[in-house]
Amino acid sequence: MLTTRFQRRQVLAGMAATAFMMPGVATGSQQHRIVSVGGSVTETIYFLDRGLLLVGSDTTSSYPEAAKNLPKVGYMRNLSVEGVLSLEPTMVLLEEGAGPPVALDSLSSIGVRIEKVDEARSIADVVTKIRRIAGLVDAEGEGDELARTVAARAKAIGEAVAVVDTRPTVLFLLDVKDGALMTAGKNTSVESIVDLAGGRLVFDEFEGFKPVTAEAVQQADPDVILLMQHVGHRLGGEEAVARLPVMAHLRAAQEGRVIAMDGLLLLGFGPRTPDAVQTLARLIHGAAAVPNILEPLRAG
Amino acid sequence: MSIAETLPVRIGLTKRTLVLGALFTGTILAGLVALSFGAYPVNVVAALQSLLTDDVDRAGLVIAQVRLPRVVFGLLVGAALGGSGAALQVMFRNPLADPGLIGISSGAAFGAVSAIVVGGTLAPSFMVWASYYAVPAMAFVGAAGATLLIVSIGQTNGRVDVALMLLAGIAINAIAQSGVGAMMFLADDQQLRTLTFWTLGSLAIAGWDALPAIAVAVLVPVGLLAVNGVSLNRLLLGDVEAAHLGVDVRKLKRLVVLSVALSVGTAVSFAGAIGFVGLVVPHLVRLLAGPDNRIVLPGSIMGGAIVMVMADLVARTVAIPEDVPIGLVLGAVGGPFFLWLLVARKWRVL
Repeated sequence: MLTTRFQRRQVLAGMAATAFMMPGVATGSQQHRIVSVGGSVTETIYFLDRGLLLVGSDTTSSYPEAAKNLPKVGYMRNLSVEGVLSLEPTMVLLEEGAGPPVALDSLSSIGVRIEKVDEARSIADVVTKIRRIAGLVDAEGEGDELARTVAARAKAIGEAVAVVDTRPTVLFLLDVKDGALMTAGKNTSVESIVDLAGGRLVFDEFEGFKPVTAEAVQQADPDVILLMQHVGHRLGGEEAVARLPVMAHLRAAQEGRVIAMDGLLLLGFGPRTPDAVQTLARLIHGAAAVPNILEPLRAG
Repeated sequence: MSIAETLPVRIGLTKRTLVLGALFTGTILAGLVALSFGAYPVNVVAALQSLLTDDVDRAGLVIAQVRLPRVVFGLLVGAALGGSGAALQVMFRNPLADPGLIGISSGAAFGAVSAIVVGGTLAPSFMVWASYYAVPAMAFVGAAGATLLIVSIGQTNGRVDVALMLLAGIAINAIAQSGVGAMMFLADDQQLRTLTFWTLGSLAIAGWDALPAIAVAVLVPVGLLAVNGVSLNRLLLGDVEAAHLGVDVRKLKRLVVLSVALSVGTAVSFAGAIGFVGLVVPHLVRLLAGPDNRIVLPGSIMGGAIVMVMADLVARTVAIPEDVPIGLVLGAVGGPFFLWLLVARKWRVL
């Protein structure tokens, strides 16, 4: 079912692309050509069934599969003005933090419509974000439906998590450099998602992302170690992470509670955030404590 | 003066004219080629024609507001780095001398990172007013500050002691780098990423507003260096010898340092940390045209400009619609090319 729909979309995309290359062919010429910057914005556009409008995205746009095949205008904070223009967009949708500001100003001065979407840190923010993007891509109907679905799913998993009465401590491993460990503190998207999943960050003395020493990590003795999948791959997998010198003596590492999750799913705060909450909650509390109540939400 | 005329600096005027003429033509051509290609497909002639009308099309805007300022900026940055590298190598009598030695790079980095990390907290109104020029402005303050400090330490009784200056440079660089480290510790995730891109370097510049100031700050000092080829040749013989030949060594060294500080300080402030050009381009010119600074100085200025816009052309077009960091191109293409030249020279192919 899923595959056939995607195949159909690809055929349509191909036809649309051909039509755009032939000026004068009537193809609903009011249609947008959108460059989407920021993984969760791109993902939301696909969930709203407007993937066909996308002519480009940035390197953080990795979901769904189709998004990976879009022309990439670079990393979201380092966009190329001419690169974006070469895709002839009618609108550029940006997630908070996209830039550099110089490039955005150049784009607007040349007459490209720029729309910024606020960063989300809660389910309420995600709903607002979905409705905002839906309004921009003329998908209000789909936006209403998606927003309601996401809110309902978030409520369901939230109630399941609320039943669990432990709050395991989580050490987030952003990266390891020269033996020092970068971790997340207060006011980060990591704190928000861990909080939703019924855990708490083991370091809450500081804000943002900071390096911590091996001794501080030892002292904190987290219940769970959480990291992003691509970082895990780079470090050689979960077992290799558990064997890192900064980790090796930790209870969580010795007992195998090292969790790697897709970065965009975990921290994107898009339509799949309830899924992320369920996955994370089942990983930190154990599958027995949190039931698997949500079927994965898939774009398309 | 009469001794100078008999020195080996007196190469035939024809060779000088030939080399510099070729480089000048090359600079113009490089600029035109760079202007003609980019991610956005543009017919340059049609675009320029459109600019002359009231109804400017998007291709015209791309040329006028994105590509042309970038090419002009690239030429200026390359000229600053190439010319300064050549002059410093003479002054330090060291083939490895580059603007980093007199604190420019680390000073600029410290200024830039300060603006990125604490600017918004310490001087919010300045940051808002200066907008995206806040980082270059602070980078320039850092570069100029570090250089002036190093020069004033290196001066004893009005004489510039190059060795002392070198050591002072090492100390100031260390201090500035630990300052950068401290700022990085204070930085949040987003500031760190901004910082990373600053250190990678880029010629992406916002339109025309800053270019006139950059042009003056680069062309005046670089021009002064270019016309001092004869004095720099004499300086190569030694301070005392140069003085006997009528060179005001004190004044010349001060001129070199200040010119380098102003031109390179300006260039790296806006373009970020771009290495390689200042070190390698003068050697390229020397390999091709010999050590006469009347050729090497202006040659390195134009050679730097050519290398820079060509590297940027590759950076802009190799991964359309993405921009590749220019430092990466300079290293990946320029490094092997320079090696090839060295080896070819060794085997007398050239």
